[in-house]
Amino acid sequence: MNPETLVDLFEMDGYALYVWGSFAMVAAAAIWEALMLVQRRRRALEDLHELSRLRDHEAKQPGAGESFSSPEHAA
Amino acid sequence: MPVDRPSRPAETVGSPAALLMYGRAGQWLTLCVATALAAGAAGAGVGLVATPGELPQGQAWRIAFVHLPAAWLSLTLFAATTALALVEALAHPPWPPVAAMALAPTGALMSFVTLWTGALWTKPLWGQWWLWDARPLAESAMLALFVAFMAVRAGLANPARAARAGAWLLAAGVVGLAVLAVAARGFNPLHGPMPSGLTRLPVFDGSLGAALPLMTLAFAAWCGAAVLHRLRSLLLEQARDAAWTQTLREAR
Repeated sequence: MNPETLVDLFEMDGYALYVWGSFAMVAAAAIWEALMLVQRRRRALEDLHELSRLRDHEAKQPGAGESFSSPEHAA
Repeated sequence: MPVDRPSRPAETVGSPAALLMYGRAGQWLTLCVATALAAGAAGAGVGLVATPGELPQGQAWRIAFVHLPAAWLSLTLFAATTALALVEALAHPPWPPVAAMALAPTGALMSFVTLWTGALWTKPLWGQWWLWDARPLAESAMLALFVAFMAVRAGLANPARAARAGAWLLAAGVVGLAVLAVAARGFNPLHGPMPSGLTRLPVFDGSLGAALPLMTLAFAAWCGAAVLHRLRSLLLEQARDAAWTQTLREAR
């Protein structure tokens, strides 16, 4: 027996809480996961932008190219 | 002189395999999302309003169209996470150890959805939110293992040690689940006996239309998309200092 009206669809013969509770949780889980994923990617890219800015900044400094492995820093 | 394959996690983040993984994941991502949305809309549509044939428990049976795909996906993701965790810890693949961690959160979510929809199914029909049965027990164990695995992997600072600890945890979990499966073979008060009843259920003899295949495809595609997206983010995080991340268009 398929629901014939919108009321039938909403009520699901009394099982509304359980059927819609299940489908709603699936939708909520999917949306939540998508938001978390987008947030994670955005943070990772912001990190990379920050790094790339720092690198460009360092490259412009006088004395750029000094390495920390030079002998006077080894002590 | 043979080129050394990068074998330790720190060496793998800058490897060509990492960039290749990043690119391939991106190529499949759009297809997975599109499939998930299309199949999900069609499957939910058929499952909610257009199932041919008589549903065995009335409208409550529609929960099967989300409960079953979630359960199957959680099992698949658990097996895949365990396999990849072991490969990453023991076989020293050339890619960074990000695959198992990309799968685990989605697997945990599928386990949770299985348990939730299962509870919503037993309550109206059997009067309780929880009934002791081999499958809910196993599903709960898998959820706990997923969460524990993520905690171990994130909690240990040394990536090689973290990979090993996580892998052993899941391997022990699989052994435990196997013992549970054997011991509980006859313990099916809720789901009924396994092989003999399965093919007689309406959902497997095709009389309920395309809802279940469509929803299974939708769940699989959605999980695939989530895992691929997370994989890419994990690669970006781990390879912050690698040369290949600096060449990406999105990193500028």
